[in-house]
Amino acid sequence: MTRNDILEGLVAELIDVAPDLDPAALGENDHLQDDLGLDSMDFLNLISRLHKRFGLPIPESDYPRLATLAKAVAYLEKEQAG
Amino acid sequence: MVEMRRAIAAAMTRANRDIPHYYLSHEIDLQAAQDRLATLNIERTPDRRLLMGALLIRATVRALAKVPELNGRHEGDAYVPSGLIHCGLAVAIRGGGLIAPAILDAADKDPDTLMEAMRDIVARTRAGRLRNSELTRGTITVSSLGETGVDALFGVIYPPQVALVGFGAPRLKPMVHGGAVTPRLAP
Repeated sequence: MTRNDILEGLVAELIDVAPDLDPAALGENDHLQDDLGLDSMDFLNLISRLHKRFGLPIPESDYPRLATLAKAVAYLEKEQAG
Repeated sequence: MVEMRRAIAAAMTRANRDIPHYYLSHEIDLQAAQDRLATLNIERTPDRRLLMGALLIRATVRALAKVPELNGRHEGDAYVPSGLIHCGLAVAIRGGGLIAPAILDAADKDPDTLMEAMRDIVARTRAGRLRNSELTRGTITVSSLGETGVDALFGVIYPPQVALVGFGAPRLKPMVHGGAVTPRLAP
């Protein structure tokens, strides 16, 4: 899975959780909670979807590593490879 | 959206006009709850993890059992305490607006059941699929600002309810614990 595939998958799940977001307007350095307005329930729903899509456990202690789209892509890429 | 905002404005105007509000604030130590959550959640897949919000609702409904004068509705000229606790939850609508649907009969629900009810009610609020009873039968409302934001919240009571419980965002603060000042989680 390439970085681009991961980013596409991540954005698809994000838009499912927050359908009002415009995929074209997303910036990779947008903070999911501070900039995109995800609350704790939205964020947990996104983590649940990423867990299913990518087959990764994503423990709570890793949440800070998914704070922005760019960070989350790097995290998913690394964990999938590992 | 315009309709919803009009309805919210009407309800809040009525609340501020008709209900003599007063405000009390108390700091609580959430460190033990946070530690318990971390221990529980480490064993769980994300879809079964608990949020602090579920514990805050659990704490609120347990506390209400001791102060029935805050759990009920003031309709007509009389306050009628409610035997059941229908716990409203202030849910932000993405794009603007706020709705407070109630988790019905919340008194005996454990944190896992409350978390499931929260997930369900937040999802249905966002999708516009709430039941009428959830919007009209609340006996108390909880408003929680989640993980980031201000220290305390003094909300507007949702008529005909008579009280609202607000939780600020938990953050680490210096607190006295076991006779020493240590960093603990507190809203």
